[in-house]
Amino acid sequence: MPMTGEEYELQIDAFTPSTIPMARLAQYLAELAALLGQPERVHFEKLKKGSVRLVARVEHEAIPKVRTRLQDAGDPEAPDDVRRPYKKIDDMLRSDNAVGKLRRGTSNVIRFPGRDAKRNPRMGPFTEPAEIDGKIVRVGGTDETAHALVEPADGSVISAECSRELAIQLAPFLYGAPVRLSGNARWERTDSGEWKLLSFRAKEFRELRADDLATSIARLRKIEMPWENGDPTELLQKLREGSGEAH
Amino acid sequence: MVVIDATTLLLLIDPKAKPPRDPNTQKPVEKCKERLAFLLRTLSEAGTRVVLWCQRPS
Repeated sequence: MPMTGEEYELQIDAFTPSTIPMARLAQYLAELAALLGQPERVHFEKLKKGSVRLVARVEHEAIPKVRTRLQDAGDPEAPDDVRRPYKKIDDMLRSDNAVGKLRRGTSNVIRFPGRDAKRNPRMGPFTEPAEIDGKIVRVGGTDETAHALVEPADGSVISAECSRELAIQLAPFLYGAPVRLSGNARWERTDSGEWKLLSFRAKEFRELRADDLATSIARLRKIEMPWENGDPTELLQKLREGSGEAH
Repeated sequence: MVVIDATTLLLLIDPKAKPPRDPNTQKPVEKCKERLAFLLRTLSEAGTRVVLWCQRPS
């Protein structure tokens, strides 16, 4: 019975099937599968000769979902489950001194700049004061220094090193009210231009209110604000057009 | 995430503040209160992170 569906071909220019290490091939396949999504309906079809060309076949029923998913893969605002494998493949290509593209028939669906991407100078690492807001999702450790896992609003998880005394103070906030950890963070800028948090050492914290925006604004509205001329909008406009002072 | 400027923040925290003038018509922005109330409700319900943009005039 003939297989129906749609084929996608990931082309990698730096390797041939006989030169690409098998482990690297497996990594590319895994990330291609993650990029296409629909794991139950996407299949490995074949490895073509010439430059490495990984061919995957999408079952007929999943064609629209995969097409839609791939439309935004290169967009920095794309959902993380699409953006992450796109970026991973691009990083792997850069590391392999390669460029790549994903083709559907004769159409280029995604271009991976790889080695041709504009590179930013690496910077750092630097240590500087930092604050991290989020919920404590784990705290403890068997070493002299303890660790707290903090979950900021963006869904990431950051490991904060801290003293055992601070860990004890943080323990009541486990899965509770959000906190603001203050301390020192070590950062570096990668050659892809992203700032990467290498480590964070928390020195102190304070509890944050878990109010939504409307509640916070309602609280601010209760503060009496005597404006100089009775019209804050006009005052703001004058400040903007004024002598260069901060507003 | 959304970014708001000082004017929007001002209008959010001081409902009595006069609406700014629309630079195209030079008239006060229409339905300013209603727009701000809708913005506040929408951002609150979505749990959107709000960043305040402040710039020193050049």
